[in-house]
Amino acid sequence: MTDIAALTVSEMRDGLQAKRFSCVELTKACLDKADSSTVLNCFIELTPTQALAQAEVVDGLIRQGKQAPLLGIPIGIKDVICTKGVRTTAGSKILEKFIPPYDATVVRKLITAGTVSIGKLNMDEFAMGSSNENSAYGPVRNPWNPRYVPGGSSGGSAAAVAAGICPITLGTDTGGSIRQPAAFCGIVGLKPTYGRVSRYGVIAYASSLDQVGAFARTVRDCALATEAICGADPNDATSAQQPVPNFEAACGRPIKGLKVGLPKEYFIPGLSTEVRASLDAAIKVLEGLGAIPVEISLPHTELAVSVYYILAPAEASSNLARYDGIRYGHRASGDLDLKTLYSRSRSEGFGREVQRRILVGTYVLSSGYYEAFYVKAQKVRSLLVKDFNDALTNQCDVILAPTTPTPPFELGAKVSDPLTMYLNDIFTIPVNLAGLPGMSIPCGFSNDGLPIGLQLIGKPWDEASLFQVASAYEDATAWHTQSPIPHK
Amino acid sequence: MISEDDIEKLANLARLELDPTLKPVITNQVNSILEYVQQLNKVDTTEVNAMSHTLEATNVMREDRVCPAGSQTEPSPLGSTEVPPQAMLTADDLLQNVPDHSGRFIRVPLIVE
Repeated sequence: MTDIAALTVSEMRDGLQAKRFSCVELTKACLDKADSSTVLNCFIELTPTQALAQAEVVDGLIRQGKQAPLLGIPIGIKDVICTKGVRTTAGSKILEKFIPPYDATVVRKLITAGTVSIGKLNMDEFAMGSSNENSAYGPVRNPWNPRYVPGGSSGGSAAAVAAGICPITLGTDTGGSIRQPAAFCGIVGLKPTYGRVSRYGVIAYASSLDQVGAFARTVRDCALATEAICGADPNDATSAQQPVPNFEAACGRPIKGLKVGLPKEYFIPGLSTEVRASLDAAIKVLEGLGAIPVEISLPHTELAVSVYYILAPAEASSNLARYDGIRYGHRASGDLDLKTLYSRSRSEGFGREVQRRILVGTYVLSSGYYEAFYVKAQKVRSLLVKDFNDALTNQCDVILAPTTPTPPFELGAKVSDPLTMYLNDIFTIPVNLAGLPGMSIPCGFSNDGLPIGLQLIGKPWDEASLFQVASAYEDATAWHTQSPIPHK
Repeated sequence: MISEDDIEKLANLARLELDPTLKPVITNQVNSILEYVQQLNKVDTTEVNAMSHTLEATNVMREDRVCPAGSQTEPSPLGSTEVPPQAMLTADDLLQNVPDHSGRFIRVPLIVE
């Protein structure tokens, strides 16, 4: 029998419209697949009751002849995105009992588009991490080999799609948290341009960098999901008034003559030979399709991790000040004075990485260090932005780079050394700092059978070119057709 | 280099209670991060503007209007892109997540001695 949970969006849509299966049957298949994949720990909570009720409504609409691109498609939502009446923890103990009284705008958009959410996906606490080992709800495991990490912070979102539990999930990306797990799990993940997608109802980590995006197994599925969540929102002043193009229509457009920039600072000796070989082969494929590779330079690249690990903790220390045990979230018990109540609630509720980043953020914002660290990082951020502007204005249409310096690493390999963990994000962080759209697509496997990702970076608001190049590559290769052996 | 005492001061500013046994480890980790980011000092930024945001954000003006609380329309699967607008939340909605409250008041420790 066909594993209907593992179908693509268009295959699911065809099956629903042709009445080969109902939305209730499809939703049950996805929930069952999640139940049989608990070793991966993708979900913090499954929501079968809500999902099946929603699926029945959708089945009614399909019977009435209603059609829409995502009608009846099961999805999963990263647990940093608020869902009305459904617990939302951000992977933290401090929000263990938090039940949002409202839906994030992206959730309302996806409900309206006709999707059915089957549950909330595991993640690094407050989206801080690159391995999903910082979740208060246990680590997520890589479907390709459960001894390895799925990447982070959207590890549950990537693993659920790779394992064929549902075709689309939502994640967030502040320094690579969509692209890096997409690469590690061998799937497609897009971080849209900063301002493309509303952040209303998305629990904040670093507000000038956070952006919501979608995971899928194919570029076209990712295009459909992305289009559904984009657009200005009166509830988010940083969501931009930009027209949303038809991303699906961009898929399949020829790429002949398109200039693909190869930044020499990303093809460095520190890059693993396996990643390097996969990228070289991918460049050849694109060249064969008529694209023109151009060597470019992004000279300030090596400074990006430093800029990020000043700005992101600074913004986080401010954003996380709201968790004080008073209005919502964990409150320490006992007869405590106000200050002790604050500090004990926070220390009991926040994990180590979160506390570490709050301390660093507090340091770089404190008087005496503010200019030397925070303002300095803001200035170097301008230089990084200028690097990208120069290249994308004068030299190329899109940039191609590795998503990560190495294939996935094993659980526990980097937990004791935060700095080594941070350096894993060296190729994804610059894109957030510059606010550009970035996508990771599968481009090969390591000798150990673990996925390798290729990153495409575009001009502001030009996600369409990323879909164009990515779909051309996908149509010419077969990486996206491979799937991991189920792990029970 | 920052000391364990400095870490204690930062924790106090950030309203965190650090586990005393972890303090040496945290101090070392924070130091290694702060040492690494010193690489920015080799860049000349005298002529560079600080940037807090990549968007050209401007103020958005609109008329004040009354939004009735509790009148939120639930989104339903229309299979469309028309998303109903969000409405205001009621006090009762918000009180559901308050760890300790008495009626419509949030209970807190004594603030003024």
